[in-house]
Amino acid sequence: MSQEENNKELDPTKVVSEIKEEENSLLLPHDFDGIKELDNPAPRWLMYLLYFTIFFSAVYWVHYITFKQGPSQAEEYEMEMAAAKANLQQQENVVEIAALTDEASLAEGKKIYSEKACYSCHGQLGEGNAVGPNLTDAYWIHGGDIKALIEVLTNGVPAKGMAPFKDQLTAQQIQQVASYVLSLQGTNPPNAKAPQGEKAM
Amino acid sequence: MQTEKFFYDNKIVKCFAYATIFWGIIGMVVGLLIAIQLAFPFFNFSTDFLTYGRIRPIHTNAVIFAFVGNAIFTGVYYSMQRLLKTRMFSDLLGRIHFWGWQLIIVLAAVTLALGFTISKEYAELEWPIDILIALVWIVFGINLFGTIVVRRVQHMYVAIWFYIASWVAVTVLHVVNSIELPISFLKSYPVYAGVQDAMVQWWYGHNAVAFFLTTPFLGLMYYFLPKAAGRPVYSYKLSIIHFWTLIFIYIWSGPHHLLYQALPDWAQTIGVIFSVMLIAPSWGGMINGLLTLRGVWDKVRETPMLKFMAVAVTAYGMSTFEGPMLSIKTINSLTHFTDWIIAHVHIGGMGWNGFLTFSMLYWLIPVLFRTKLYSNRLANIHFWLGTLGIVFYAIPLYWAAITQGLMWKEFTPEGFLRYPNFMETLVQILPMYVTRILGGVLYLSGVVLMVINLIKTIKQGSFVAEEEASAPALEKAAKKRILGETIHGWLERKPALFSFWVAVALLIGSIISIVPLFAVKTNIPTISSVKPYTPLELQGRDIYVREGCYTCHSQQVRPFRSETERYGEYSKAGEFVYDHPFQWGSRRTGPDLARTGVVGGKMYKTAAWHFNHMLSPQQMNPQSIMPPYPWLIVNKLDIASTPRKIKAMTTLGVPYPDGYADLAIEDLMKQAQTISEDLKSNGIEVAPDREIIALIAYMHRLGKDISELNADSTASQATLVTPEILTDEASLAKGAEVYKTNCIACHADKGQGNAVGPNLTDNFWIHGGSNDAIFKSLHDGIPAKGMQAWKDLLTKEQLQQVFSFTLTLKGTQVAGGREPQGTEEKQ
Repeated sequence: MSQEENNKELDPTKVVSEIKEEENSLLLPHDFDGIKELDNPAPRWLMYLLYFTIFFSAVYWVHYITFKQGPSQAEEYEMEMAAAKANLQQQENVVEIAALTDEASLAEGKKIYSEKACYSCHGQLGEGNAVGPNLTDAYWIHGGDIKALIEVLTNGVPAKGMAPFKDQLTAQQIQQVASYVLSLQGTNPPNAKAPQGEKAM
Repeated sequence: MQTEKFFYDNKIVKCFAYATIFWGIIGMVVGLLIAIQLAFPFFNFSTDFLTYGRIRPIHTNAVIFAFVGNAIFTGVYYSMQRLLKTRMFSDLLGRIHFWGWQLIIVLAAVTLALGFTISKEYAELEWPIDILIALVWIVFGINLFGTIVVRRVQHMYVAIWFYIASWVAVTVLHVVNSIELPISFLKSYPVYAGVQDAMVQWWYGHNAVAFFLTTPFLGLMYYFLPKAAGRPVYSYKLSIIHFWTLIFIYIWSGPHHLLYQALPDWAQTIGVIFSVMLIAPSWGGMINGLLTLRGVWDKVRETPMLKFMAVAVTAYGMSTFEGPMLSIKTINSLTHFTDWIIAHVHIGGMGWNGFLTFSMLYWLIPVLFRTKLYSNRLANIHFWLGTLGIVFYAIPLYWAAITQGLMWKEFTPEGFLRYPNFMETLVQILPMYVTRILGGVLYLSGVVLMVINLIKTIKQGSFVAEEEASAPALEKAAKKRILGETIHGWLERKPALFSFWVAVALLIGSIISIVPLFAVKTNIPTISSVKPYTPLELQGRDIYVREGCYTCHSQQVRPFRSETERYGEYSKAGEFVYDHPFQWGSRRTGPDLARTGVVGGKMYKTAAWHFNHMLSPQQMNPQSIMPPYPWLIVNKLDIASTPRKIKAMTTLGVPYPDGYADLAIEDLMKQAQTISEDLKSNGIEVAPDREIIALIAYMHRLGKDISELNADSTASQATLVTPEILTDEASLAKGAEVYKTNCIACHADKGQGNAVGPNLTDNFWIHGGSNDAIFKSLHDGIPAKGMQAWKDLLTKEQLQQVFSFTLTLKGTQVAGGREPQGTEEKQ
C-alpha cells in the first residue's frame, strides 16, 4: 500500500462520495466536505402517504370539530356508560342473611379475603394492624353478627377507611367472605390487636 | 480566487465527545438503578436522595441533556467547521459553552437529588438553572450563527438547516415553558396553571423530543452517514420536503400526550391529526438515510460504524411510526399511562439516539486521533449486546403494557371491574420488569466495551488539535435570486432569511394550539366550587412535587367507565385552575390519585392509612413496589415559608382573601392539629408540624371540590323535587318495602337504630329533623358517616315513598332503641 493510499484510509475525512455511473446525470453540482447529493425525486409512495395523511386529517377535523358529527369526549363517555347499563344482566343480587359454614364456601371466602387484600388492614390471619381492627376477638365496632358484617362489607365505613365492596363483589361473595371472617372467631393469632368496640353477645 | 489557510478546532470536539461518553455511562447507570427499584423496592434504600421519584428525573435529564446533548455538540462542532470550511466562530464561546453545559448537568443532578424540582417532565430544573441554560444556549447560538457568518461555503448543507431549526425551536420552547415565579433561591411556581400548564408543558416536552432528540440528530445523520458510507445523499428534493414538513408539523403535536384528559376536544384533535401527518415527514429522514446506503450494504455489514447507523435510522423509522399510532385515540386509550410509552421512548432513545451516537463516536475518535479503531470485533460485540439490550428492554414492556392496559379495563359479566385492586395488575407485570433489567444490563455492558475500545484507540493514535485546512474565500453573492436559481437554493445562502422562515414555521403551530387556551375563556369552564388550597394543603402539595410522586401517580381520571368505576368522577378542566404546576403525570405505576380526598369515594383512605403507608408500603401490602418515605415523619415542615407561598399564589391569580398571607400560618396550624389528633385517636403520635401531616392534608383535598360540586348540584335538584309527604296506604307500604331492603342494616327493622346507624324513632336528630332536612339526608347521604346518597340508587317515587314512611316512624319511641344522638327537635 502506498503512503498516500494508507493516509487516505487513515483519514476518512478525505473520502468523497463514490458515484456510480448511472448516477452521473443525477449528480447535483454542490459538494459539502466531500458529500455529494443526487437529484432523485422523493419516493412517490412517500408523497402519497403524506397527501393521504393530510386528507385524512382534514376529514377528521371537519367531521369531529367543524360539524361535530362524531361524539365528543364527554358524549363518548355517556354512550359507554349507557351501553354498559343496558348490557348488565339484572341479576338477583340478594342472598339470605345467614352465615355459611360449609367448607367450600369458607374456602371461597378465604380466597376472597386474600384477593381483595383484606389483610392489608386486618392482617393475614385477621389479627388486625395499625389500620384495621382485630377480626378474631369477640369485640366489634360495627356489630359482630353476620348481618352487621355483610352490611359493613357491602357499604363500607368510608370515614374509617373500610372500603365498600358492593362494586367489587356479588352478594354471594360478600356472604362468603363475611362467613369466613366469622369463622376466625377465637382463633387467637399472634400479634393480635387489642380489642376495640363492644363485646358481642 | 485566493485560497485561504485555516485550522479546524478539534479540541472542542474532543471535549464534547469525552463528556458524551462520561455522562452516557452515568445516565445509563442511573437508568439501570431505577429499573431495579421498580422491580425491587428495597433498592430505594429508604433514603430520600436515592428514591425513585427523585432520581427518575436524573435519569431522563442525564440521558437527554447530558448524553444526547453533548453528542449533539460533538457532531455540530465537528461538522459545522467542515461543512462551512471555517474554524468555529469563537474558541472562547466554545469553551464557555462546553463548561457551562457541564456545570448545568452537575447542578441538575445535585438539585434534583435534593428534591428541588418544578416537576414538569424534562424541564424539572429550578429557575436559577433555567436561566443558566438559557445563557449557555445563547452562547451556543452566537457561536453557531457566527460560524455561519464567517463561512467559506456559499450554501448551507441540509445538516445545517437542521441545526438552525433545533436552535431556534429549543430557545422558544425553553423560555416559554420555564416562566416561573421564584419564591426563594431554589423554589418557584410556574406561572401557568392546570390545563394551560399541561398544554405548555407537553408542547415543550413533545418538542424537546422533536428538536433536541430528533432534528439535531437528523443533521448528524446527514453528515456522518454519507461521509462514512462514501455515498451521495439519495435525494436533495426529499431533504427539502421532509425538512420543512417535519419542523412545521412537529410543533403542533404536543396535545397527543393529553388525549382523553381534561383538555378541550379541539386541542386534542390537533394533537391527533398533526401526529398522523408526521409519519411521512419523519420517514423522509429514514428513507433518505437508508437509500443513501444503497449499493454499499456489503460495507455496512463490515463496518461497525455503519451498522450502528443503519439500526439507528431504522429505530428512528420504527418509533416515528409508533408515535403517530399511539396518538390515535382508540389506541391511546389502551396504551396511555402504561409501559408502552416507556418502551416507545427507549426504542427512540436507545436505538436512534444511542446507536447514532455510538456510530458517530466509532467514526470520529479514530479520525480525531489519526488512527484506526482498535478493534472491530469489540465494536461488533457492542453492536449485538446493544441490539439485544433494546430487544430485551422493549419487548417485556410492550407485553407488560398490553397486559396491564387490558386488566385495567376488564369487567365481569356482573358489571364489576375484574381487577378492582390495582395491585393485581401490577403483580402481573413485575416479571417483565425483571426482564427489562436484563435489557438494561446488556445495553450498558455494550457501552462499557465501547469505552474500552475507544480508550485503546486513543492510546494508539495521536491527537491533532489543530487540523490544517484550506478553502477559497467566500465570494460575495448577489442579494437577489440569480437567474436559474431555485428559491430554496437562494434561501440556502441567506442564513438570516432561512432562520426567519424556520421561526415562522415553528411559531404558527405554537401560537394556534396554545394561545386560545389563554385567550378563550370557554376552553376551561369555571367550576365555582373549586377553591384554592389551604396553606397546609399547599405545603403538602409542594412535598408531593418535591418527592416526584407524579413519576408514578397520575392525577387525571379519564372519561372511561373502567376509570370512573375505579377512581371516581372523571377529571374536568375547571378543577385544576389553581394547580401551579399541574400534576397530571404520564405513567400509572401506582393508581391515580385525583380523587383520594373524596370521602366515601373509591380512593379515599384515612389519615392513619396514609401515615402507615408512607412509612412502609410493604407492611401494608407485601407486594407493593412503592418506596417508603420515613423521612416525611421526621422532617419538620418549613412552616415559615407559608406566607411567601400564599403571596406568590396570589400574584399568580389564586384568589386568597386580601392579607391572607398573614393568617396563613395560624390556619395551617389549626388544620395540622386536627389531622394530628385524628392520627392520635388511631394510636399514632406525630407532631402537627411534620411533613407527613401536610401531605395527608393534600391527599385528603384531592378531587374533593368536584364531589362537593355534585352535592351542590343535586341539592338544587332536591329543591326541585319537593319532599311531598305521601299518606296513602299503598305508598307507605311501598316505602316500608324500600326501607326493608335498604335501610334496616343500619337503622334496624323498626327504625330503632343499631351499632351503625342512629335511632329514627326518637326526637333527636344529628342532621336535622325537619322534613326538608330528613329528605336531604336521604337524597344526598352523609358519605362521611356511611349514609348513602339514595338519589343514585332509588327512583324519585321510591325516594318519596321511603321518605314518607320514615316520617311515620318519627316519635314512635320503639323500645330497646339506640340512645339518642344529635339535638332534640321539639314537636
